[in-house]
Amino acid sequence: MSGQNLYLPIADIAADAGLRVIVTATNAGWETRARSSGGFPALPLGVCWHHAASSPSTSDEACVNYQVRGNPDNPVGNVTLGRTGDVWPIAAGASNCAGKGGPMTFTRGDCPTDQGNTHLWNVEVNNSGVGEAWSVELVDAYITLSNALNAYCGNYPDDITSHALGAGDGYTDRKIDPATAAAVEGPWQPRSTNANGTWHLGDMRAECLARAGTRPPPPDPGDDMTDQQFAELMGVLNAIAAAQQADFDRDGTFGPKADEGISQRSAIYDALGSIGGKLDRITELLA
Amino acid sequence: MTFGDFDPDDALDREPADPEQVARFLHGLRRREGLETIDFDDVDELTRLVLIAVIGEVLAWMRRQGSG
Repeated sequence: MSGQNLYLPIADIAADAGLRVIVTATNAGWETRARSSGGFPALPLGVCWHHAASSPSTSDEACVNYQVRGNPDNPVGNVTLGRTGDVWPIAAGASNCAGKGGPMTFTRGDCPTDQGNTHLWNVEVNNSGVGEAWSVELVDAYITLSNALNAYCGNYPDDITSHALGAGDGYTDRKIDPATAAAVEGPWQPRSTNANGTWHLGDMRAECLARAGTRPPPPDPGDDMTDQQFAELMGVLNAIAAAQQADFDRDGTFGPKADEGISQRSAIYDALGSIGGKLDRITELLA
Repeated sequence: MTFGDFDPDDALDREPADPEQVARFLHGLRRREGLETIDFDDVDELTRLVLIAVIGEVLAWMRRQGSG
């Protein structure tokens, strides 16, 4: 476990986006499921798009069952899309799906080398990836889900990557997903970037952006202050820091004036900490 | 059915283990062997906390052994 150990509300995120969420005995417990390292160390920086390479006869539930318990390295992926766009939450914490690869840069930061499992959402799809049709409703659900997951984290809609180095800019060269481009039905037709038919990452990003409408400035997740409130808070903190520095300047580091100043202002720090703790508790009670 | 493209590199894991996830995994193994009858989430909270704490100590000991 490292960082914040986050378990994220996939079902609510998907449902709020208008998607159909499926939870059965097969994927029950997704809320507390994660790889051995636990929850996400911080909000994911983007979405990695996959396909499951499942046989066309595989039911959605059988695919999910493999991800949740059939694979010894379970859980595989955070969420799976069924053939008609149903959303099956798999693991609310970090999963095993995109380990070796990267690094990659996203709007809010870098996904370090080999850390896609803990720094990215990983979305699987019950599709063979070798020519099985991608229906319009499935592709629509994929983009809607990706945009919703990114929006929840304060990412841009185009903070996505494929699991393949399609155009030299995907996450890894071990895989081909998502594919194939030729099997995508409907008005949006991604280009193919290799002989395996991997979707063109640039086309995927452009479509996510287009369907999101605008490219809003990414909010700072967890920071619900307005710009003015932030500026005021920084003003107070800067004033405290300036006063502290003045004390140090007067009699040198750790002289009597500095000690006195630190002592006086420790009450301020304690008060700020106390207020923060109370606000957290109130927020919990109101939730 | 096939799930054709998973490979061990997908699970590449360099993060320290989380005691709760290890506790869940071990509990699941014990259930599979018939040694437990209820889900981990249904175990009373105090017992769960103790289990997690014990496993946390074991993991910390393993890390110390590994770094030594």
